[in-house]
Amino acid sequence: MAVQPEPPLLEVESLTMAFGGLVAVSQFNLRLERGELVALIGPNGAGKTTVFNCLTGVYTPTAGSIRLRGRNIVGWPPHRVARAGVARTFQNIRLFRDLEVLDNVRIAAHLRQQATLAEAILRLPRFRREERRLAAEAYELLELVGLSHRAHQLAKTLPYGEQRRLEIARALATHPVLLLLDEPAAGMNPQETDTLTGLIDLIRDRFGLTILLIEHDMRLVMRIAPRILVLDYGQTIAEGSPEQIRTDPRVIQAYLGEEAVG
Amino acid sequence: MEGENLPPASSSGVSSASTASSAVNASRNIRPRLTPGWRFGVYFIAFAGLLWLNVWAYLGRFDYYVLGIIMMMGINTILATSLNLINGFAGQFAIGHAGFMAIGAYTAALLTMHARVSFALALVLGGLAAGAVGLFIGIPTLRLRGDYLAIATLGLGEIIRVIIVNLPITGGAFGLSGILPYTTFFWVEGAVILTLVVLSNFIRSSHGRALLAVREDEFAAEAVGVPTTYYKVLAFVMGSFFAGVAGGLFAHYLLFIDPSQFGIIRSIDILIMVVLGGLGSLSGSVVAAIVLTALPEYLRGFAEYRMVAYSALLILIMLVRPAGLFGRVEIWELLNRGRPCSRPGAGPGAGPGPGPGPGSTGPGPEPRTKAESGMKPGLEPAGRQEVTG
Ligand SMILES: Nc1ncnc2c1ncn2[C@@H]1O[C@H](COP(=O)(O)OP(=O)(O)OP(=O)(O)O)[C@@H](O)[C@H]1O
Ligand SMILES: [Mg+2]
Repeated sequence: MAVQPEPPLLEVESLTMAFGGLVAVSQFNLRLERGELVALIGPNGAGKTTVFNCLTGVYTPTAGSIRLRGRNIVGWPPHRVARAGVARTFQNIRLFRDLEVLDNVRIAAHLRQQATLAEAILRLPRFRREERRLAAEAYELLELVGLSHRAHQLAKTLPYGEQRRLEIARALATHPVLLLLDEPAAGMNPQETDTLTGLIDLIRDRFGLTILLIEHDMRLVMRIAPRILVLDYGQTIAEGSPEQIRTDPRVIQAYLGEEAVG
Repeated sequence: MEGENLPPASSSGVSSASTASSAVNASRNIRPRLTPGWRFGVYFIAFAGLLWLNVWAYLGRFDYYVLGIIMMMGINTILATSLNLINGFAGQFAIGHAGFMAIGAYTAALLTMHARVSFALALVLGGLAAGAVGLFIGIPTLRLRGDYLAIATLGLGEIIRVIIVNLPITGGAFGLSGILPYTTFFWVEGAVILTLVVLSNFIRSSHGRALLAVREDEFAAEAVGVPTTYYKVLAFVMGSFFAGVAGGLFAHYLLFIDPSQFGIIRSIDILIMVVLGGLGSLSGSVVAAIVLTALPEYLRGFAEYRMVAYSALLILIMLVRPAGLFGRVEIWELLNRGRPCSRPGAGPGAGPGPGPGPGSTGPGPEPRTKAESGMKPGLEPAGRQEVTG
């Protein structure tokens, strides 16, 4: 067998997403190699979250292609994309608020479950084994994000920063290859942000994850992202290392413009 | 934070109430477990009660009237718990449960009368017929978000009535008589136990948790790989199946059925049991089914006012305990020294337990009740649905 060059983990080409007349994302390109961490930044309304929604199948792009390990996933429903290895967190935290913290994570492990409904109803051995294993895994993930002591609390009772970490644990429970973090540090104080930065590094090492990160906290971005992409009005206006981005006139213009407006 | 492109989660916003003090309250926030003493007591009472029921039924000590009420309690338990699976656990608002009951009732009755099918098989086939219709309705309506299911199930009752009236074999509007008296206390008991075991094992499995995830937040559920449409349809079909089984038991208990018995009034009766007992509480549904079957019998003289009384009761419950009697909490969770405060969502001011400290979660700022979440899945048609068609 001839050795095929491995396709990039994620390859997005000319992704365009229009809502009626509004082009939220235009001609977006992105290539992610396995293990990379790339940050996606830009002023409010630049189209960052829209990119995530396209990548995860929430929206079907108006044009363009999204290839995950060589397979075009455009048009797949979100749960299928998740099963293919793309997990995400939400900018507006979307936990299963009235369920226990542990269950929030266990639900995400669901996609790896083998036991059928009949096995579950009859409580057959494989089902029991799997339940134990999934619970143990979920505990481990909670421990990793520092929430194991909260396991049996309702998700909505957690403080804000912990809810964000729980979302990360939940995403990890799907065993993703690609993790999309949408403003994970939003609303966090500097100390919480530091913890989060450490956590992102940790999970990257531990699981060999590829991460695409949307973040407004520049300190965080500059610290952990070797490569940064800047969006403005749906256009990619810059791409490069933190130093390049920091000094890029168009980026400065975009952010200054935003500040001038309000 | 605004500008997230998804419709709001059914309960939007971040719990602003959670503060550092929740660490202090951590122990209170932990879900209560029944202490061994209580657990023993509950099981003992339940077991003793069941034993007594069985012995009495076996010896034929119940008079016919009382036995009938007991059997109706069982049948209503099946109806209420199976509707709760759809409305309370999966969070999809269905209201035509009597329609599925009718399908099961007529199917099973006709099979035992004309095809000499054994009773057990007839019950199962009646359930399967109802489940098949559920599948047929569920697939198109449950793919959409919003309240299409409510409308479809409401319409279903009417369609089924028209079909029954016009089919030659069903006896039309005059009803179907001469059904064989197969339903006994023990059949009902067996069916109730099977239903409860199946439903509770389903719910307490990762499949059941997927169902809860759909109820909590469909987008988040999809994002972690839960095929939401599949689980919605699954819950709906299973609920329909058990309603069909209950219909079969009902037909062979009453021995005479006509379309008027499966109208909107019965659907509302079942719905009220679910809401009163608590959307998302199986044990609540059981208790509500038993109480609301017995109550009208005691209040025979007020039969005409039943719907008025129910409406008043519903309004009262909505005001006092919007989550239903037991919220989404199972009874044994409440029994833990009367301290249900661990689950702030269970109901406003849930329980007399030690009030959560200042600034803690308590009954959350917007105690999203089961009732609300059940009735309003709260999700607008999603972009994906529109784009992908
Ligand atoms: N479903 C939708 N329908 C119509 N317009 C939308 C939709 N989703 C996003 N938009 C628009 O697309 C643009 C980009 O939004 P998006 O949420 O992607 O921005 P963002 O970069 O994530 O901003 P923020 O930093 O505020 O989160 C905005 O103008 C937004 O109003
Ligand atoms: Mg955004």
